[in-house]
Amino acid sequence: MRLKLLLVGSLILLMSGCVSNTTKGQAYPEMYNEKPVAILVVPAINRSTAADAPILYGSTISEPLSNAGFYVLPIELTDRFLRNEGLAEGEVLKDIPPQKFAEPFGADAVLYVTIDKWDTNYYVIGGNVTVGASFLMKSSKTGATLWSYQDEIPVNTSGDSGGGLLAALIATAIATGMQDYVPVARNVNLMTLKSIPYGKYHNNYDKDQSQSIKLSKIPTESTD
Amino acid sequence: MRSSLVILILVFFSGCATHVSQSNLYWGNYSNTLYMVKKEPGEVSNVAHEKELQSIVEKSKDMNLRVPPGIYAELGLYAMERSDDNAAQNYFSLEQETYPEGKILMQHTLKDKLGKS
Repeated sequence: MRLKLLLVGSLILLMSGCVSNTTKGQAYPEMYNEKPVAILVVPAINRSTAADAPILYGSTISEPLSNAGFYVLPIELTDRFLRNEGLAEGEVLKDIPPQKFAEPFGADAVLYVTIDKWDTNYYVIGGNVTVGASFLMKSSKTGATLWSYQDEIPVNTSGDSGGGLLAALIATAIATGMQDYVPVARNVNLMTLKSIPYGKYHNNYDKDQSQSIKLSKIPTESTD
Repeated sequence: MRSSLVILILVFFSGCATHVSQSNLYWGNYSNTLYMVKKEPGEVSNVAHEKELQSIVEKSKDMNLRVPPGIYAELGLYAMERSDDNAAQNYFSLEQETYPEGKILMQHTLKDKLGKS
């Protein structure tokens, strides 16, 4: 019964037109001009209360970003390089122009992820959770913003009264005993990356300009 | 009818293990085993992750798919940490052959022997 309600909630969430519609080509023309392939994902900037969020989050992004058609420079390697250079903190990297550090990696673009809100206690019945993240991709040639996306997903975990996409995932997480936020991170990634123009290795590369996307917020220049 | 819908949606949400993405990649259990390496660093999680990396290579070959970005490179890193430089070099070359975009980083990595730092 509860599952059914969650499913209905999910479908309503999926179908609700409460956000602005545009196309990938309109929203992110610079992506189509520059066509970045090799992406350097720098350590996530953490504005949440979970201290280990950035390092754990880092394990969830290679897969969906590669699936969107990009060559994600192996994070296990790039993290070590950055650490050796004293650049392990996303917060520090945010203020350095990408042209200055992306070159040794052979990166076409740099992806900055800011974890705005996070809650590891989402599995406690009766709680409320908001997961928020911002994504910003900058050209490592010019420093210009190629793609950005912000999303905030409030979830009511108190059962029958709410539900939604995340709640359904949380139910799955509980069922599999994975009482952690990795399923939430994955879902944020999936929803976010729906908006990105596909990269070179995707079947629909350079053919998705007219694909419509939903933006819950207008992309901004800053990750703040 | 209703139960088949439920199953369909569950499959959609479950990130089914044999799923091949629209970029034609097979990732197996990659995100989970890597996550465990981060969450509980140590021999158990690292052995499991390295095994998964090897399995992704094998299964990708079986399915005639490109090995996903970074898989060979991570195997190279494990080899490097064991001081097996030949194997490491081999893996980094494979990464570079699969993805020419990774060439600069692979060569940089070999030169710096990051695994030993």
